[in-house]
Amino acid sequence: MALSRREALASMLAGAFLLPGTGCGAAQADPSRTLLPPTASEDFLARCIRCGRCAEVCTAGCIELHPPWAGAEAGSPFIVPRVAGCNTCTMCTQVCPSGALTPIEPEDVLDAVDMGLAYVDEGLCLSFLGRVCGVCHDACPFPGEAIVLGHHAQPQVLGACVGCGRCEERCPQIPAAIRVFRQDPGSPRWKGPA
Amino acid sequence: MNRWLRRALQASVLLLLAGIPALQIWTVGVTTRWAPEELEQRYGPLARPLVELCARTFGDPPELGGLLTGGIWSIGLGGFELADPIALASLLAGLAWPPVALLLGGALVLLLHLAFGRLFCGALCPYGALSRLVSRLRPRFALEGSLPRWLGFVTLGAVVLAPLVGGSLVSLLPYAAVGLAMQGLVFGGWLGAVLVLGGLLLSDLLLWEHGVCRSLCPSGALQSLLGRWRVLRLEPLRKVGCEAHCHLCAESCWLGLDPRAGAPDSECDSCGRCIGVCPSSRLVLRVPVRDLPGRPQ
Ligand code: SF4
Ligand code: SF4
Ligand code: SF4
Ligand code: SF4
Ligand code: SF4
Repeated sequence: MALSRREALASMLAGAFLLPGTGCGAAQADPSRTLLPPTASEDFLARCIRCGRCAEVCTAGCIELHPPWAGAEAGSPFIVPRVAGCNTCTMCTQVCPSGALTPIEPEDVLDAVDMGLAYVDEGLCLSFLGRVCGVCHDACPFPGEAIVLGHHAQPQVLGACVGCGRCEERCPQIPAAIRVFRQDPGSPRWKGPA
Repeated sequence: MNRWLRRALQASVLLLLAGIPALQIWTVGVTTRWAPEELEQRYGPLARPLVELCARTFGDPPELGGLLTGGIWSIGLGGFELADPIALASLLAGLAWPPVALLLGGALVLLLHLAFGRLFCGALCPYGALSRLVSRLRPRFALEGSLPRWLGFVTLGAVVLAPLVGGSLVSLLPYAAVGLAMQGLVFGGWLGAVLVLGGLLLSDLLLWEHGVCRSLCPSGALQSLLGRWRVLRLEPLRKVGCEAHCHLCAESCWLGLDPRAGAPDSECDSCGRCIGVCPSSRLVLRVPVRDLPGRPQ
């Protein structure tokens, strides 16, 4: 009934050869439409063991998990900032068992977190259209450091922006006039500084 | 193993898998003071009722936020980690060095597999428990027959080596799917896990009885591979004979083994179902000491 060691090994190798056929390595069309949780490692998809523990503790409810049919990203966490931005509580980094997220404390966020960068579309932003808004500034965990308001509350994002996406979540304009992009100039969503 | 001990263990695991997401959403819901509507919008369908129920019944959550997280695949118990060795192996296959806590937690479970073989399947696995429930409901038109054993090793190879092609198959693991489904119902994104779990249970119900545990599950395969050296073993006593035409043990074995023919191989999970039905009390679970000198063979 039980297989011999050799048969077992041969079957495992067969599994390895079948892998490409499962589509589990297929890259998503545009992964940059989402953000990764804070302090995600360079080799995030290889490191994340898909335990979902980050989503369990997220105090912003912003971490979702990709469904089983999401190819290479299946089971891994992502954040859609327009739905819910990260409030930089750092809980996810502290429970991640695999090193996919590096544990940090809330006071380290400004230095250690780089989920992306926010960009203001001045053709959409209410403050640039003659009204006075500034909601993004008030939603930002680092007002004055990551984002400042000029005349008529016109927002300007600074280099310290951690890419948490709170501003995009709260922007009252539809579609959002401020959006966060993973810093990946090759991605289709990249509309970085012109 | 005693039937009630086994059931108590299985029930506690299912309770733990349901309890951890409930504890976490209660903690998040109460400490962040989300409005009920906000909870409903941000999390899964069970989040709002759970937080309201827990807050009304118990008040504020204990200070456990983040101390008890995860499930069968990877669980954190206040700084102490336990992990499926397959998770560890897949990390290493992806050339990523795991943190020490995960390494120790995975190694500990690996040692348990070595010492007890498939005991996890029989006593702890949440999918195994559900599969037993489902097998009682099998309709008469359900398919007879079984899947070949090597399939489990094919899935084992695929799951461990998936990071080599840059992906992961964890969402498809039967035991992980139970926890992921409960997690998903509380935190959102339940559809995938519920579909996977439902599909597997449906195949147990209508196609191959216990086919997932007997032939498909990569953990079952790994444990049976390691179980060759297990210390706890089911054995038929040599001095006692079976009653004529008795096949009760083979009929009771959920993994399709036949203890009557001799000590079952490393597929046996020491669940003890066969022990309970044997009219001659011929089957025992023990640490074999037959090689000790002076012991009659
Ligand atoms: S830092 Fe906090 S709010 Fe941000 S993703 Fe992690 S758990 Fe969620
Ligand atoms: S806690 Fe870490 S390993 Fe687990 S799903 Fe989140 S990022 Fe991946
Ligand atoms: S500017 Fe936006 S993305 Fe950047 S830190 Fe502030 S809220 Fe977060
Ligand atoms: S919240 Fe949106 S509309 Fe308001 S100032 Fe910021 S970017 Fe402009
Ligand atoms: S042989 Fe007996 S102890 Fe082993 S799996 Fe079958 S019923 Fe359980």
